[in-house]
Amino acid sequence: MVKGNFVDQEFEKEFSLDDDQVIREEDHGKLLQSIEMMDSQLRIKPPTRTEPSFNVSEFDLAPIKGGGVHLKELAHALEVKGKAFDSEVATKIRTLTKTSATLQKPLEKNQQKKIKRVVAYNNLTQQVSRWDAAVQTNRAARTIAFPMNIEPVTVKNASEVAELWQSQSQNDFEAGLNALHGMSKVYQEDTKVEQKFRMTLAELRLKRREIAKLRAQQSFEAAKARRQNKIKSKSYHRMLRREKMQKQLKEFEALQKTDPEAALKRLEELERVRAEERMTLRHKNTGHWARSRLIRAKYDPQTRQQLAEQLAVSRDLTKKLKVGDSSEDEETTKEPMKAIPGDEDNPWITVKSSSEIDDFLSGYRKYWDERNKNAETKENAVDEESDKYKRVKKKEEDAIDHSNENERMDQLSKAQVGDDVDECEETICHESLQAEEESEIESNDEGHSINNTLTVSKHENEFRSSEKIDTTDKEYENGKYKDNKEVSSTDTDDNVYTSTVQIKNGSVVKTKLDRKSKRKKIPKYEVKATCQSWIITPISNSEKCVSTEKQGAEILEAETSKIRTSDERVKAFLASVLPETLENEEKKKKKRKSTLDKMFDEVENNISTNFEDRFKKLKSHFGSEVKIDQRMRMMGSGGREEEENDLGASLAVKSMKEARPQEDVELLEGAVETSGATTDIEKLKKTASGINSATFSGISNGGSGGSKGSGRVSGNSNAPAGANSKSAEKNINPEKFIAAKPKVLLTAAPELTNAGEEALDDEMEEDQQKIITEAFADDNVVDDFEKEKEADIKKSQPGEIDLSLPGWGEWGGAGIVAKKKKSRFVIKPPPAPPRKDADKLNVIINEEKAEGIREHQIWEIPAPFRSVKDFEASIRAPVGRTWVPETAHKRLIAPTVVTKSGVIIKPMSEEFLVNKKALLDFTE
Amino acid sequence: MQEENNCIRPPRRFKRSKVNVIEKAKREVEELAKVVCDNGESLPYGHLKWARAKQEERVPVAKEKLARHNRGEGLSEAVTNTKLLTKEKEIEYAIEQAARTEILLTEDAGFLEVDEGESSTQVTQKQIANSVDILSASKHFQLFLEEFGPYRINYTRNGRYLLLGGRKGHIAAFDWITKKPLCEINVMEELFDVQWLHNELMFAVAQKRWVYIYDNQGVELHCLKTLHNVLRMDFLPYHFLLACSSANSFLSWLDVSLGKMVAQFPIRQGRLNIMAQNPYNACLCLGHAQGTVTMWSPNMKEPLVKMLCHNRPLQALAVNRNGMYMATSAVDRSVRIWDLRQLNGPLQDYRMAGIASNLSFSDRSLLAVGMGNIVEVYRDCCATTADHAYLRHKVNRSIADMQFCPYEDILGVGSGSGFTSMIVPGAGEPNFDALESNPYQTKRQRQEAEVKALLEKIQPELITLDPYAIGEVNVPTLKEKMAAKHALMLGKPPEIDFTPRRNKRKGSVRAAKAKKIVKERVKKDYIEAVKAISSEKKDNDQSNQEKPYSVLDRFLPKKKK
Repeated sequence: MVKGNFVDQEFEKEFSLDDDQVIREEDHGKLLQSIEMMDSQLRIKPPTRTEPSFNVSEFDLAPIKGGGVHLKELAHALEVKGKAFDSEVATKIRTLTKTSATLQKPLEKNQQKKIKRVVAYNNLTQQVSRWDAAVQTNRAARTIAFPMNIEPVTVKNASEVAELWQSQSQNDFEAGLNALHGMSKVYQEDTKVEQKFRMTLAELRLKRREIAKLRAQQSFEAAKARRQNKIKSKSYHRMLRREKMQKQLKEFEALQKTDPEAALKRLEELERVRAEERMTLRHKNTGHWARSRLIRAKYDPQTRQQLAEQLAVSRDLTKKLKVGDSSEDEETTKEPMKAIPGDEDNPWITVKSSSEIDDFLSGYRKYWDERNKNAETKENAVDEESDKYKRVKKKEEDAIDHSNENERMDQLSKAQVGDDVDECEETICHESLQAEEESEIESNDEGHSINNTLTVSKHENEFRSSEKIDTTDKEYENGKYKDNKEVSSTDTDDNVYTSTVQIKNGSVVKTKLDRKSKRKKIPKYEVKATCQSWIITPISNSEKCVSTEKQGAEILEAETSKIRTSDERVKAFLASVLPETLENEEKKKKKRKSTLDKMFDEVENNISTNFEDRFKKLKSHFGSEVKIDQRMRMMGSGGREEEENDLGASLAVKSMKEARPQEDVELLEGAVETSGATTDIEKLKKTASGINSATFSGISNGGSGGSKGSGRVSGNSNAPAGANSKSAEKNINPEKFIAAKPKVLLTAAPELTNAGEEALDDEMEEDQQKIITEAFADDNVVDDFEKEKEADIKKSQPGEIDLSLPGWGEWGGAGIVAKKKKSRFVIKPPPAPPRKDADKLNVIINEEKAEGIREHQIWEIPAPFRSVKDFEASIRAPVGRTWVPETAHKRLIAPTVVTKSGVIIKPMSEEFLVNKKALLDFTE
Repeated sequence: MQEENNCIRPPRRFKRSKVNVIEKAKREVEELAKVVCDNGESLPYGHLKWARAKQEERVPVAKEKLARHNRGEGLSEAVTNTKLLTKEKEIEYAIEQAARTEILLTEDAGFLEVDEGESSTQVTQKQIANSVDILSASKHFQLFLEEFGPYRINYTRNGRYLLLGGRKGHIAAFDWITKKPLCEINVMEELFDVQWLHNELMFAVAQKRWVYIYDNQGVELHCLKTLHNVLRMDFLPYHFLLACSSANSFLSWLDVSLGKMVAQFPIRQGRLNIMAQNPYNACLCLGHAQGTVTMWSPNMKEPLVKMLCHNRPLQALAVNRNGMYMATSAVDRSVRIWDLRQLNGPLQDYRMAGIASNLSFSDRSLLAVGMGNIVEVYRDCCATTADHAYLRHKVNRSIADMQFCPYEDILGVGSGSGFTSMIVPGAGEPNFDALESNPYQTKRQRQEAEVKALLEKIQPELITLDPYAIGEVNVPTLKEKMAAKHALMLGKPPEIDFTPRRNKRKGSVRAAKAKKIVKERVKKDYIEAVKAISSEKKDNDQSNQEKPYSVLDRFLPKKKK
C-alpha cells in the first residue's frame, strides 16, 4: 500500500509539473544549489532521506564524506553515564562488526548482464550436454526402436483388476448417475442388448456403408464449397447471398414454430451481429463504390436508386430496436418508413420498397454482410490511409528494435500512452483484449480493416489501431510478415482480400525486409549447398562465382548443377588427370585436398632417377661385363647365377620394382578419391621410403660384389624358382619356370592309343611320339608367346600425346633442317602401373576392364568412406540368407529404425538420462 | 532317554508365508535364469552383465574354421565411424556363425586303406564292390555298348541322372542309381557332346551340324542352328548359359532361360576340342595346340588370361570344384597342375607312361587321368606331389570321356566299349546342401529350385576373372585418364545451356549479367585447366633435374604457381 501511495504521489508531482508549468520554489532552490555546486568538487550531493520509506535506492548508497555513521557512535547513545552499556548489546555489536562487512558497490549494469548471461549460458550448456551421451548412443546405434520410453508391459490378473475397480472413488454426480441408471429400465435394457448381441456381419457392413456414404457426401460438399469459393462473379455471389438469406429466414420461421427457445437464441445472435454491424461504416455510401456511383447518380436514376437503397439499409441498421413484443416491433419497423416521405425527386430520401429491401430490413442478412465487410472497406479506404499508415509504421519500427518480448510490450504500451494521452482508458482496454487477440486466428484482417476506417470514427479507430500494431508486431517477431502463405492456408474470401490489402499497406517495409532477408539468407544457403556438392566433385568451376557475385546466386546454382550433371564423368577424370589445377584451386580455398597422382609421379620420378644414377655408377664401376637385355629382365631373377653375380644389385632393383605392384596399383587407382588423400599420401611415403632403403641395401650388397645377390632373395616369393634350371640358353623355356622336377609316375602303359583303336607296339608308339614332338619342335611356341606378351604390354600402355602442329614454327625451304622442338608439344604418359603378370613369365593377363561389369560397379565412394579400400572392405561380405546363416542375416538386415504402430512416439524423457546400470547396482 | 523319546513334539506350526505365490514362482524362475560368472558371481536375468556372460559362455570357434569362412581383410584402422565399425562386427559375427554351422556337416569322407606293403593301386573294382555295402556295390556297373561308341557322358548337377551320348548317335538318359531309363534314342547322325541343362528335364546334344535340345523323353525341343559344328559343351548353372566351342574356332554362350545368344565370337585358335569351365568364376578354359590355355568371358573378345602351359599341344584340361587348381596334359605325356587363383605354376609336373587324353577332378580334388584304355586316380596330387596312383582301372577300349559323379564316390568312364561306373572311395563330397543341389530331390523341390534359380540368375556381364569385381569401385585406368586428358586438349570449353530457373527475369539486365559471368567463369576455368597441363609437364622436367639446395636459391625467381 505504501508503495502504491508513493507512486501515486510521484505521478501527481509529474502531472502537476506538466500541467501547471509554474516554477516552484523548491525546484528553483534546487537549480540555485546546482549552480552553486558548479565550482565545488563534488557535484552530486549525498542523498538525504526526506521521508520514511522501506525502499532504499541502490544508487543512494554513495560513499559519504567523512566516513558516514559508525555503529559505535550510535551505541554511545545506549550508554548510561558511568556504566558500560548492556553487555548483551555490546557482544552483539562486537560480533556484528566482526562478521559483517560493508556491501560492495554493485556492478555496472552491463557487467551484471554479462555475468548473468555467462551463468545462464553455462547452466544451459550443462543442461543440454546431459543429453550428449544419449544422443551419441542413439546416433551410433545400429537399430533404434521407437517409442523409446516404453514401460515394460505388466499383465494384471483378474483380482488385481477387480481391486482397482473397487478402489475407484465416485463423485456425487457419478453416484447420482449410477443410481439413476439403476432405476431406469431403458438404460438397463440398452446395456443388456449391447452386451447380448454383437453386430452381425450384415449389420456391420450396413453400418460401414452408411459411414462411407456420409463421408462421401461430406467430401462432395467440401468440393462444392471449394468450387463455389473460386467463383468471382459478383452477380453470382449476390444471388447466393439472397438465397442464403431466404433460407435462413425460412429456417428461423420454422424454428419459431417448432422450438421457440432456440429461435430466441438465434434472434439474440442476430441482434449481436447487427449491433456489431451498426458500428461499422457499411451502407454509409462512403466507400469507393458509392463515391463512383455518386458521380453517375446525377444522370442515372438507377444508380440513384441503388445509393438510396444503401442509405436506407444503413439507416435501418443503425436504428435502435426496441425490445418488446413482436407487435410493437413491427410497428416500430414501419414507423421510419412512414416518417420519411417518399419523394421521387430526392434520391437520397426516396426509398423504393421492394422485397429485397424488406429482406435487408429483416436483419437476417447482417451475418452475411458482416462476412463481406472487409472487402468493401478495403475499397473505401485505400486512399485515405497514408497518414495513418506512417504512424503505424513508426510504431512498428520502434517495436522491432526490441528483441525481448516483455520489454517490447511495455514499450509499446508506453508509446501509446505518449501518443494518445486522451485514450489511456482504451489502451488499458487493449491490454485486456490482447489475450483474446492472440487466440484469434484472423486477427490480421480485423486489424487492417479498422485501420482503414480511421478517419471516420476516431474513437473506434484508436482502439483498434493498437490492435493492429500488436498483430503486426507479432509478425515481426517471427522475423517476417505472415503474408500470402498464411492466408492461403485458410481459404475464405475475406482472407484473401486482407492479404492483398496488407501487402499494399506494408509494402515498403515488407519489400525492405524481403531484400534484407534475400541478401542475407539466399547466398549463404547456396554457398553451403555448393560447398556440399564440391565435396563430391572436386573441380569447382563456379563456386567462386557464387561467393563473389551475389546477384546471380540463384542462376549460378542452377548453372553449376547443370554443369555438374553434364560433365561429371569428365570431371572425375579431370580430377585424376589434372592434379595441378586442382591443387591450385584448392589451395585458394584452403581446403585440405591434395592429389595423389602428382605425389606419386614425383616419388616415382625420384626413385627412377635415383635408380638410374646409381645404376650408371655401378655400371661404370663394373665395366663392360654387365649387359642387360630385355629377356633377362623378363626372367626376373631367374637362372643366371653363375654369369651375373655382380648384377645382383640391378636385379634386386628390378625385383623390388616388381614386388610393388599390388600396393602401387591400389594407390594409383585410389588417386581418384581426393578426400582421403592425406592418409594415402602417408602410405605412399612409407612405401617409397621402404623401396629406397631396400634398394640401397641391395646396391650395397651388389657393390661388395662377393655376396651372391642377396637382393634376389627379397624378390617375389610367388615367382617360381627358376633358379633350378641350369640351361644356359637365353630363350624362355617352359622348363625354366617349372617349380619341381617332372615327377615320373609309375603308371600303367595304355594298351591302346586314342587315334587308332588298334594295339601298337611300344616301338611304334615311341616313333609316333617322336614324330609328334618333331612336328611341333619347329614352331617355337615359347618365342611366339613372348612376342605376343610384349605386343600386349605395348598395346596396353597409353601412348604419348603429340600436340605439335605440322609446319608450325618451322621454316620452309631448301637446305633448312627443321629443329626438333617437338618434345615441347609431346605429353608423355606417366609411368604405367606395374602389370599383374609382370612377374609371371608364362601368363598374359588382360588388363582391360570389361565394360559390362563397370556398369554395375560404383563410381563414387559414398560419404563416410575416405578410401576405396575401406569401402570395398565394407561391402566385401554378402548379406543374403543364401550365403550367410539365418541369425547373421537377420542381424545384417536389421532396420535402422523400428517403430511400433499405433503408439505415439514422444520425445525422450528425462528418465532416459538416468544411469540404469548404476541404479541396478545400487539396488543390488 | 525314554523321556526324550516319549516327549510329545510341539505341533508343527505352519506359518502362512507372507511371500506371494507368484513372487515365489518369480524367484524360482530368476534362480533358473541366473548365470554364474567366471568369478563365481551369479547374476539375475536381465542384468546388463547377463548378456555378456551368456556370450562368453559360447564355445570358441577353431581358428582354422574361421579362416575357412574368412571374407578377407576388413576396414583399415583409419576408419573410426562407429556405425561402420558395428557393421564390421556384424560381418565378423556372420563369419563366426558360418563357422559354427560346420557342426551340421556330419558326414565325413574316407579313403581306401590298405595293409602295409600293399598298394591301393592293386585293389580292383571287383574287390571294392565285394567289400562295400550292397547299395554302394550296386553303383559299380558296366554297360557294354560297343556298337555306337565311343561314349561321351554327363551327370546332372545333383549327380542323380546320367546322360550317355555315343559317337554314332546313340543317346541314353537314365537314373543311374535305380537304373531307371528316361529315354533312349538315336539321332542318326554323328554326335560330339552331350550336356544336361539346369535339371534333368532337358539336355543339349552337339550333333553333326547343329546343337539340339531334347527333353528327358527324347523329344526334340529345339534345333539351335546358330550353334554349328560344336565340339564341346558346358553349362553354367548360375548364369543359365550353355557354352559351346566349335570346330571352326567359335566360342558361344547361349542363355537357355531366354533363348538368347549372349555372345558368340571367333577366337582364331583352331579346333576347340578341349574346354572346361572354372566353377569359381564361370570363365571358360580352352586348351590349344600351341600349348596354351586361354580363359574367356562372354564380355570380352580377348582372352582374360593366356597361359603357356606346355610347349606341346594340349590334350586335356580340368579345373577342380573350387577353382583352385587346373590340370593340363599334353602330348609329351606330361600332366601339370596349376594354381588358378594366383595364375602361377606349375605346382606339380608329372610324367606319365602314356598321353593323358582325359582329365577329371572329383569334388574332393581327386584327379582321374585317362590314358588310352587305362584310368588312374590320384589322391593329394595338387598341393603335394603324389608318388603313385590311388586307384587304377582298365577298360576294354580307349577312353572318350570321364566324369566324377557329384556327391558320390563314383567315376563314370565313357569309352569305346560303353560305360563303366567305377567306385572311387573318398572322391565325392559327403555333405550336400539340399538348397543348392539335392540328390534326393522330389519333383516339387525340383520345381521350386528351378524357379528360385531363375530368380537368382546371375547376369552374364558379371562373368569376370575375379568374381568379387562387382564389389569393387570403378576407378579409371591410366589409359582412360590419358584419353580424357587428350580429349581435353583437343576440346572446346563446354557450352552452357543457360535457361534461368525462373522466367521472371527473362530479359532483365541482371539475368544477362549473370549469364555472362557464368560463361566467362567456365571458359576461364577451362583455359586454366588446359594451361595447368602444360605447366605440369614443365614441373616434371624441373623435378627431374633436381639441384642440391644452396643458400643462394632464395635469389632465384620464384616459381610460378
